[in-house]
Parts: sequence; C-alpha cells; structure tokens
Amino acid sequence: MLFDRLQTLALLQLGDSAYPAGGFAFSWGLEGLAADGMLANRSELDRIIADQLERRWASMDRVLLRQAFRAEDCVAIARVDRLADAATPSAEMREGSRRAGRALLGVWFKLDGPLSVAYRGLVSSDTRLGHLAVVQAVVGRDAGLSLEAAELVSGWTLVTGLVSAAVRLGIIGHIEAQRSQEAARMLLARLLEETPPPDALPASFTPFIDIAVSRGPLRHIRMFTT
Amino acid sequence: MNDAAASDAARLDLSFVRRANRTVIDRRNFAWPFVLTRSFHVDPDRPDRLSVIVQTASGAIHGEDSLAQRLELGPGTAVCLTNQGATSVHRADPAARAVETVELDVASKASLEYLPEPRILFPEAALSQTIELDCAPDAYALIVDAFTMHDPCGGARHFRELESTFCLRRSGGEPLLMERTRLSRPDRSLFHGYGAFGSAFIVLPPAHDLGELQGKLAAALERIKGLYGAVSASPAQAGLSIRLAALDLRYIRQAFEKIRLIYRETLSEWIDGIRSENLSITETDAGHDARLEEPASVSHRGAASCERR
Repeated sequence: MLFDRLQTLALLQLGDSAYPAGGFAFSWGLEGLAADGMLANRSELDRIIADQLERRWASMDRVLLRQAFRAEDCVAIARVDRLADAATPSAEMREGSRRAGRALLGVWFKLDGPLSVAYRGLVSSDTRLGHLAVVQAVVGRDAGLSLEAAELVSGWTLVTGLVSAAVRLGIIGHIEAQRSQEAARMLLARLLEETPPPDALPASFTPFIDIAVSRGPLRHIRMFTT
Repeated sequence: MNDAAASDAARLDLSFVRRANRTVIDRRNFAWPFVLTRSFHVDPDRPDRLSVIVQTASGAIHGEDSLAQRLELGPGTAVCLTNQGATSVHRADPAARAVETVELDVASKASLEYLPEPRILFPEAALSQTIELDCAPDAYALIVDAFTMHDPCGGARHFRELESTFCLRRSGGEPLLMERTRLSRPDRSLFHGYGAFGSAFIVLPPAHDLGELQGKLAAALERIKGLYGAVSASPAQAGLSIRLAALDLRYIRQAFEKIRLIYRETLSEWIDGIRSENLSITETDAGHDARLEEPASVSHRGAASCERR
C-alpha cells in the first residue's frame, strides 16, 4: 500500500472546501489587495499565494502548529496560542485568525473530539485564544492525524481558501483556479520537505497582505472578514 | 543574545532620571563605535524632555559587528533618542552576520521616543537586530524601525539575511507583542516594486481610547504619495501598530515624522484633558484610574535650554 487510506480519507474530509468551519468568510488579504489595485490577474494571485505560503504559513503558522501539536496539555497549548496572538500585530488579522480557529474548534467540539472539548473550555475563558494554526493542531490530534498530515491539511486549506476567494472576487475563473492550485501544490510540497528546527520562532514577512487586511475597516463594502 | 555575546558587544548604556523637573542622564557608558556628545532640552512644549543623538564613529554596521544598547528611563522621565543618520549595513562573510540588540526599560509615567534612522542594507549584508521594550503599564513609548536596500553598483543585488524582532513586555512577564521578520536571500519579486519598509509601535496605557488617534494617523498616512500603510490596534490593548511599505525611503521618513507629530499632539491633548478632568473629580471619587497618572514629563512648560548636569 502506497499510502494510509484512513489517514488520506481524514485529510480529504478536513481539507474539503465544504467542511463546515466557515473558511469561505476569509480572503486573507486578497479582497483588500484587489481593492487597492495590487491584485488583478492570475499571475499576481500566484505570487501572493506564494508569499502567503513561504513568508507567513511556513515560517509562522506552521511553526505554531508544530508547537501546539507537540504541547503536553491544554495549558501548554494555550501558551502557544498566546504567542500566536502576540506575534500578530494587526487587530484585523488576529480577529480573523481567532474567528476561523474558533469556528473550526466549534465543529470538533460538536463532534466530541476530546482535546477539542477540553481546549474549548480554555478558549471560552480567554479572548486571546483560538488562533487557527493552534486549533488546526488540536483538531488534527483529535482526528488522529500525524503531525505531517496536520501540517499538510493546514497549508492546503490555506491554498484552497485563497483560490476560492479569488474566484468569488472575479479575479480568476474556475480553470485558472485549478492552475493556481497546481502551482501552489508544488510549492507546498517543496516547503513540507524541509522541517523547521525544533526551536524555530514564528516569523513572517508579508507587509502587503498585513496592510491590506488591516485597512479593512476603511473600506465601505466588504465580502470577506479578512 | 547570550551573556558571552553580550559581554563582547560594543555597548551604549544610558540611564535617565528626573531631577528638578527635567530629565538628565544619570549613567553614561559607551564604547567604540558609539559616541555620545551633548544632549538637549529643545522642546518648548515639553522642556523636560531630553533629546539625545547617538552617533557611531564608523557610521555603519559591518559584517561581524556586535552592538548592544541599553536605555533605562527612570520614573517620570521623558527621552527622545535618535542617531546621526541612516545606517549602512555592509556585506558580511558567508558565515557571519552583524548582531544588534537594544534593551529599552521605561519606568512608571515615563515617556520614550526611540527614533533610529532607517537601515540601508547593502548586497550580501546580514543583520540580526532585536529591540526589547519593557514598558510600565502607565508609561508611554513610540518606537520606529525601517529598512531600505541599495546596490552601489546600480544593480539589483539584495542583502543576504535580515532578522528583525520587536518585543514588548509590561513589567516583565510574557511578551504582549512580538513582531519578528525573517528574510533570507529575498527575491526581487517579494518587494512588489517597493523599496523601503517600516514599522512603528505606539505603546500607551490601556485606559486610552485609541479610535481617534488611529483615525488621525490613518488619514495622515493616506495623504503621503508612494506609501502603502495601515494602523491597527496592538494585542493586549498595548496601543497601536503601524505597518508601512513605500516606493522610496523618503516616504517612510515622511510617515514617521507625521506619526511623531500626531503622537505628541494627541499625548498633550490627553494629558490636558486628564488634568481638567482631574480638577473636577474629588479625591474620593477618583479611586484608581491609570489615566490620572499622567507622565510627569508633560506637566511642566517653559523655555528650551541645553541640558545642565
């Protein structure tokens, strides 16, 4: 057998765009960049997806996910969650990350995931907690995923969320969306080949995306939370 | 930085205290390449604020430099610190990188403006810089940081590595805000045609309403051509975080100047408002209110003069 069928089916379930965690509400800066004239076609979209993956997800979200996945208990997970909060200077980005994370955690709470149930108790008592990367680790543990599989589904749902947002914003069509996903798939696979050192600290450099998300409240009409 | 590295580093170590209603330097230690000459009280509206210009004899950061600064602001002091100009960061050998650490300790009711000029990263430059700010809950701070890139041959060669960290704590404890940038052999396309990047952090006591200040700053940044920026509320009600990208360094400088002016203006307004409010509140009514603990640094007005020690 070339792959673990149960693990793969779990990945397909968690990575499905129909997964009921509200991922469709977030464009992670695409809407703002398009409004500010910095995103108009597939080539620019691919570059922004690459920035998101390389300069934020791989160096920050993935690092936090790995720490939370290995955390001994809910208290240790919460410590990583507070670090995620402190490491996100933009209020709009923090709010988006928490909303997405809490929605995902809510699904697994209803599915009776034991760690999700326990961690949700802490999240509901501290407004700083519930960031997406940390919750992806919690849910991945409940779903029986390996760390590598949890990372993969985290990176892939970011890609599908971005591409889906671009389609709904009218920046690309459905066929171009598949081309963008294919390019992003290659990049994600390359990034996953390299393992961050155990003592890696979360870091990012996505100034345009950060600014575009933070400028959200200045816009009169928005489709997306971020 | 570990202890060994810290002891090897060239140090600038200053502490400030409040004496006779003015801020003065209490401890002044520095070693090459740091140079510190006279400091000044030059602000007519804030005569107790001490303006300090730190100079470096080399005027640049070189490949294996290890630099450390420590500033301690005592209770009620007010300090504005900058340096002599934009700092070139020159190439480092493949196995080396320059390290710079800055520790800022701001005590109760003190006010710090830490305004270093931007870094100019040359081809093959490698720099790791850390700013650690520990700010008392009732203290104020404005911190800026920016970089641009320059290839003296007129080409498009970039720096090799940049790691830049800003960390905020309130009287020790877990970091409330930690912005860490890490770039290694960046591709030109990453910068989207922009040539300079910067951040500013305004740290305020939690009791302040940030909405109006945020609006003023956002409106001012919108008026600067060639600038793409945003102002956002920092984590843990610690103030405001500002992120900037600019076609050219001069737009970052314009933005920093606007931010500084609005920050000072707003701070003065708040303090005046608190003073008026304070007059109408009896001691019994007041209880404990962080807003009433105004920075002593803004409570005295008078003529500008040079520092006298």
